[in-house]
Amino acid sequence: MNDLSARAGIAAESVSLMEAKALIRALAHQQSLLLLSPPGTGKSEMVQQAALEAGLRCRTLLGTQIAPEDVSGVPKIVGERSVFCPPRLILPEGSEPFCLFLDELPSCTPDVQKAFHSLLLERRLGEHALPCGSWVIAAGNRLEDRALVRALSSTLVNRVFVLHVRADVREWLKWARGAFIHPDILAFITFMPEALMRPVPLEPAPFSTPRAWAALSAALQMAEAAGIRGPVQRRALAFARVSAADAAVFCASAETGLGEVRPPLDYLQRPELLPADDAARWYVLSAMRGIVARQEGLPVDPDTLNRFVKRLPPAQRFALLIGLAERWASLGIAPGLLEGADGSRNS
Amino acid sequence: MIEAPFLAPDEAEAVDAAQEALQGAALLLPYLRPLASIVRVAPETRTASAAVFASGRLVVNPAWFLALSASDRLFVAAHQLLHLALRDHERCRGAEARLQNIAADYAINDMLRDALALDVPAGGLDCPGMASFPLDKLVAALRARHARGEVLADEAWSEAPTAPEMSASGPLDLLDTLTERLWFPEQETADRSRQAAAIEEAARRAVELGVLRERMDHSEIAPSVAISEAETVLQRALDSRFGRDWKWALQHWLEEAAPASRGFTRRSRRQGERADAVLRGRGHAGWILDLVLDTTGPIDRFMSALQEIGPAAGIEAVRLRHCRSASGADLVALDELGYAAPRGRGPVWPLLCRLGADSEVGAALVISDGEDDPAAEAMPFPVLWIFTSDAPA
Repeated sequence: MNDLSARAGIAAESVSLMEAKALIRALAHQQSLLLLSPPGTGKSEMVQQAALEAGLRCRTLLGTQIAPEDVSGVPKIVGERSVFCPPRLILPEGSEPFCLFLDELPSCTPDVQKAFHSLLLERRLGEHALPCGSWVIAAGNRLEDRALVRALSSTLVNRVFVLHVRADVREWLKWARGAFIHPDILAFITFMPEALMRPVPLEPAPFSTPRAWAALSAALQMAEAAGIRGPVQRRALAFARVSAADAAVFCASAETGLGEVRPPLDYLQRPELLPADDAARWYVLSAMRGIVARQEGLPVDPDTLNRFVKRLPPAQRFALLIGLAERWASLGIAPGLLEGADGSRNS
Repeated sequence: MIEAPFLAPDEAEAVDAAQEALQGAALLLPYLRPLASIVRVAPETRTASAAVFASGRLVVNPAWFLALSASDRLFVAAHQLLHLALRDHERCRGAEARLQNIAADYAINDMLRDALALDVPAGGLDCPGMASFPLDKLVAALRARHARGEVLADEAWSEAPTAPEMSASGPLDLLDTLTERLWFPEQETADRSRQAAAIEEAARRAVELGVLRERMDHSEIAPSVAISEAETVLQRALDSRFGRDWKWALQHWLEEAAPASRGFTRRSRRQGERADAVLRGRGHAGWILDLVLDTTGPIDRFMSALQEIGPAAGIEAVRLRHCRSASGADLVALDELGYAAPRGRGPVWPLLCRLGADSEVGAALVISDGEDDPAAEAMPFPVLWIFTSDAPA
């Protein structure tokens, strides 16, 4: 588990979406799985993608919208007996294996949960078995996510593998690049990874999840396609979809281009890369100064360092050196460049 | 922007030096640039050192300021800019404004010591690690020290002389609008309000950019990387802008519920920016709050909030009433509230109705796990319900 998971309140024994996908591929033809995570992690999309990759048609049932008979079927009279007819959605007439995805299972009423028992454990509905090789996968939110979730019965929990799923920043960024997520969002999440997934807030307000960022990306791209590119509109859309504090910093990042800035040490080696934009350049110098102040050391030789400092206009040089004369001197900066950098001048 | 057109030579020099220090602070901490560019500087001997109004007017004592070195001036300028960025004028007010100002000064100086790589100058309040604590925790710690007889700071920068016109109990370097009106009567109220709005917008921007700047110190995707003290302070300021803090709501309710008569010893908050009228403000005398407990969960956070906020609202003691037991009330001094323990849940309304007939009850605070309807009955006194997070949905 990483720190991000802890902040989002995810159990220690969690797996990433990709790890969960690999487990589904390996187990789902024989074992039923229940994926639990906060809303917006991307479970549903992952299950559908896994099924697609395995060549299985995915049939999805939404737990919040079904009644027991939607699962167990309805009886018909055959001779002197009643026979249950399973719904075609769950049990198609062909013998092709498929993926049955029970989304939002923990939100089902207890009666519906009961109807799923034989499906999850024995992979059958009454007299009818699922085609061999079919997957039964359930997913949903946890009680603490305040997502209309009910307590799961112990009998149901005992019939499935319960996997706690978390969002993984590196995994998400890889996916996001392939999915053409808006570059401002990519830059921001790279910069501020914990903003990908925030704990579910106590109040029903927008909050940051992978799904929320993907939706914001789509909205920004649609707005831009329609010629709407202003900071006011960006702010409105961001605050409407992700946590307010994340929205605020995301907009500041997009407006200043700070999310695009390279690690400060890159610029020491190649000063020509320094941002042309004045504001961004000040941030780079401030970050560089921070490295020296924290005595982290600069992995460059004194000549390179002196060349870099000499290239800077006086005001930027002042900002880089003031108060840190001794530390810069120990790194090999020429005494002439350090004049006045001890901050002792009174005017 | 320079405030006064006609200045004595030392005043003009101090204004220039302060402008230069503001620019220097904005160079080292670029996220303060939006603020530094609109802050106005005025020389002022009625302050001993440097102080700032919410409208963005920075006042410096010329003699004191000119005696500082360039880097010390820069530190002081960054300190005042951060007060504006963190909206300390809003956070530090009420009966404990001085304590809150001292706590904010400790946090800012701690943050700046690291962020600027400069020592805290001129005897400024200095204690490493203070920036990691939320302001209310710092205030509580300072209150406890004060209660033990420790003398708290009477200047933001102890190397400054005491200013005779400054209140001995008011804030240190966060000056209020009334003082600004008295010191700068020539400025139009509308102009002051416009300036305050511009400062608020720049403060918002500064905090957002500040979080980004701090994040630049982390070179790769590593959510577990230690967050700097500066980022902690800035992120907290950002969160407080959007978070609905229940303690804030409690404070406002207590202030409104406090049984108090109006008089001219305090000006009314309803007066707002008006300078042409004086409205009577409330004078809060000591009073007893009735606290109704209908919970099985922990109540420590509510009790410590009452201990923090209560004195400012004039609460002297609390009458603890348990819904679970039919027995009467326990009268508990505010500072002993931490020992209070809930006895469980019970029907709230019969108890509240009994209190309704008791003329001694001025206001009741109900802490409940939440099955009663708070709007079931109208009560003859104000009632605030706090539903615990352990309450059923």
